[in-house]
Amino acid sequence: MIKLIQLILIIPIFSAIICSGLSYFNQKVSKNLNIFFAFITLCISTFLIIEITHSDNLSFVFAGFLEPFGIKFLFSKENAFLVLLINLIGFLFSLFLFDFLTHNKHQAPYFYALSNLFLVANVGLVLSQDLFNIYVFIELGGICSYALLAFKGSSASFSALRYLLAGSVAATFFLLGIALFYALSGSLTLESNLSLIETNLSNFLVLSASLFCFTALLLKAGVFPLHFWLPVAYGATHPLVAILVASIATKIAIYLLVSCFGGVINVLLASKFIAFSIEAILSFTIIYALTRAYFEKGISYIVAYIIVAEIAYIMGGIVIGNPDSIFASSYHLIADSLITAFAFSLIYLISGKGRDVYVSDLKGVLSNSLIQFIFWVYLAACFIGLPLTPSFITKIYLIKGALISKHYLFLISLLVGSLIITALFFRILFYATKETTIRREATYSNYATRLGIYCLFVLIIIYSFIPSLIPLNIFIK
Amino acid sequence: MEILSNSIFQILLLTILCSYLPFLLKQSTLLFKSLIILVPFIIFCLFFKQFFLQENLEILNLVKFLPGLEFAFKVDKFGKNFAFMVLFLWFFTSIYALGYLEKKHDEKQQRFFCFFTLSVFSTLGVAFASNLFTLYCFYEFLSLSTIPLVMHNGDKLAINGGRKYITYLLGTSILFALPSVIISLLNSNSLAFNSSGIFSLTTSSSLITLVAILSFFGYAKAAIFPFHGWLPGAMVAPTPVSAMLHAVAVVKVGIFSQYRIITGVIGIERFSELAFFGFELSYIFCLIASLAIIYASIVAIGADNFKRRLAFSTISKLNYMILAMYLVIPAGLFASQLELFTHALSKIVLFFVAGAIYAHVGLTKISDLKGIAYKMPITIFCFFICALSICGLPPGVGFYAKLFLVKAIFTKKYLILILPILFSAILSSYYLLDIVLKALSRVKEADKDQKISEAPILCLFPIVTLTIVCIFLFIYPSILFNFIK
Repeated sequence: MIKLIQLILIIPIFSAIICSGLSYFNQKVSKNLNIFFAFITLCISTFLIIEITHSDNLSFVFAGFLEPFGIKFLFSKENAFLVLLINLIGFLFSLFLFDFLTHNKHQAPYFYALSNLFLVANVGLVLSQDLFNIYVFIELGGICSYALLAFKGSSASFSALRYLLAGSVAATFFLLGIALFYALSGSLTLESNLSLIETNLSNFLVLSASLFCFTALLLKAGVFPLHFWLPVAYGATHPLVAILVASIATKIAIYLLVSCFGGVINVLLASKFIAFSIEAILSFTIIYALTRAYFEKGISYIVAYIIVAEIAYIMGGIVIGNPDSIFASSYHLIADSLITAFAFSLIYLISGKGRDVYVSDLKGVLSNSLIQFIFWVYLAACFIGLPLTPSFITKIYLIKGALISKHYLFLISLLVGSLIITALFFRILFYATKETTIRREATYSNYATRLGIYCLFVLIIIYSFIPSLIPLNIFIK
Repeated sequence: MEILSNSIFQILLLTILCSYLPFLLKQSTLLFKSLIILVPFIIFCLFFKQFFLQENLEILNLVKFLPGLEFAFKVDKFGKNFAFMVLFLWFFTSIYALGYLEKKHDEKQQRFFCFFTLSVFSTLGVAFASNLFTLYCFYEFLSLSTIPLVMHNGDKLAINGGRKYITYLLGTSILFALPSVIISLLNSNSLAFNSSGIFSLTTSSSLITLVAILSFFGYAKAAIFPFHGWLPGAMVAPTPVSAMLHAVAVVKVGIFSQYRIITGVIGIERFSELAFFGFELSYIFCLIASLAIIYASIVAIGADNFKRRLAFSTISKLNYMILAMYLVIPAGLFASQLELFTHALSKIVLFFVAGAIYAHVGLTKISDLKGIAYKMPITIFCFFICALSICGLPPGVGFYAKLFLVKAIFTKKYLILILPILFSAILSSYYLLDIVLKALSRVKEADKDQKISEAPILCLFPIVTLTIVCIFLFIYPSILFNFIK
């Protein structure tokens, strides 16, 4: 089983090297091979998740490196879902890439390398039990995502630059935090440093180190008001890239933030004033981000602002802090990832050759493609939180949690947010039902892309049916 | 395996699978037509065999999401009767729709029948739902699956009508019905319908009142005033859609949902105790319904468009059902169910007639119908009989519904509510029989000798058959009473 876990990390690295190299000689084989590797990784993840439910958590040292510089990994019942999610998105991305690279052959090496390394970095972040490794994986994932986000050129390059700057600041903060931790505990393992946080957080140096790391991850996760890079980075980039990056990067950052530095949140929440301020900020974020989304014209920007609000939902669940709300956050972390991927894949489908997509581009979706219309309606239902969508479960538990813990401000923002997004839903629906005489631009979508979208659609529906299988608290490292 | 052998599952699965069948065949072929008629017939026979001949009252727990939140079905008396009515009328509407669409040379028949079947599937889902969550899901699915049907013509009028339809139905269900589901879920152990209600005795009355108010306005498919505007707007849909969905399935699903809220979610006894600012909640709802009855009857008189007049008539009669139901007494619930079945049977014929005239001679305005009775005598005669039924006059079966409604009002002693019923009865007699009189009036002497030319047989057959059923049930009302009791 340990070997299989190691394979999850090794196969994408191999895929990055082999497929990139091979694409110079034989495009067809490299494309198929990329899908094959992604599929194998997905199968292993699926197998492992079944296995881990019947056994204990698995901890192992990679390549024999021991403390304090050891590369230690932990595969648990909680993080197994995230590993599966990352590999699932990776596999679906390889399907989208199949059609895209048919028309962009020269981009193949670039995409194979960056996408696979991005996946490795994120799986590494989830499994890693070592602060320095986390830093390395943050950097690796960051570099890959900067390059991917800038791929479209022009405005996307500028947005990626903002992301790069934010990422660099975050990395610096994180490195400073690690240095302090190492100085304090003499170890880089998460275990020893987490116990240090738990026992000595009142110590100024421990608190400083924690806050450095905490702020870095807040920035990476795009939590308001440190979200400034997020709407422009995801809104301006190619929707194909957003399928991969937007659905994984921020979610994993939130996971790290809560699982590694949840203790900091608890300390902050001990003060009533700070706790109320955080709740107020999160409530404001939901209304602000959704209002911005409502007034945006570009669909990618709309989705990007919705992501900002969704992050606030997840963080809200953590801040409320009772079992119901924590389950809501755990469940929504995965749900939001799938929904984001679905949203960007639909945008990709109508983006032609990667041009910006506006709400007005949805005109005639109903008359042109009924299936696409159904997908858009379902996506909107997901954002609202209607029954048979995962967001419904999330909202039920968030409302329940907020009611139990008397977080009425957050509850009100949740309801107001739902109203705003309902209005947005009608706006989109009206455009989709409009008639249009404009002929649609040719897209890169073919069977593989459509298969990917259908898979995502079905997966989201299935996910909405299986909340009982999801761990009650996924934020355990 | 246990699930597969479940009758509810079989019927729901068969219906949803059959929705894809039209796409497998080329439209207008004999096989296509045969299939369109056979599918409802087979499903109806299967349903009849399983639930009427064998008295099968099964339960199906399909998916359990979380404690208290599950996808579950159950066949009870009202649900069974409701499903029977929908499947019975679906068969006739399919025959009619074939004739209508062929006559109109419609090229999107495959899509039409696909969504038509999906709508029936959703309606069955509502009928079989054993808890509020399942009911709500199918209620929403029905709204979504009927959007392409309302917008079927694809012109500006159809799109505007469709948008109005979406706004009203999805808007109210998201804003009112969904919060009521969530509040119910958070304040009860289970959402499963229960005759004494799902709330415990300790649940505060104000919370239950809130659920009742949200549910009342949330299930706007019942043309609840002031959210009734979608119904006249949706009349841009092809006539078979208006007939089946907007006179039978969709609007009756609204009524059915309201019925479930009273009897299964809140409970009759608890509901009659609810008050809002010192007034009985049921009385307030009855007054709102009365207001809608009067309003819709007045507007119907002024409507010259045939389907629009029928739409306002439907709003008026739906509010009869709401009024009867919110009397919150067994007699009222019985009258409401009686009105539901008789109205469906009679109103569908009126819509069929409107569509047959449009498809055959291209007339949509009532003022243009002068002399049409001499050209289409059977059609107009059937219209006359069913119009009498809607007005509550013999020999239409609707007579009994009005009789029991008045009786229920007397039982409850809300005597003031007799006035809108009387007022509406006079107005509906005027605006429906006015159509018959117009059809009988002659523009010129030559009309007297014009050749009889009825609508295609596929359109005429359902009109005549259902009219016969309407008269038959008037003569033998005990069949209907036993059916409901």
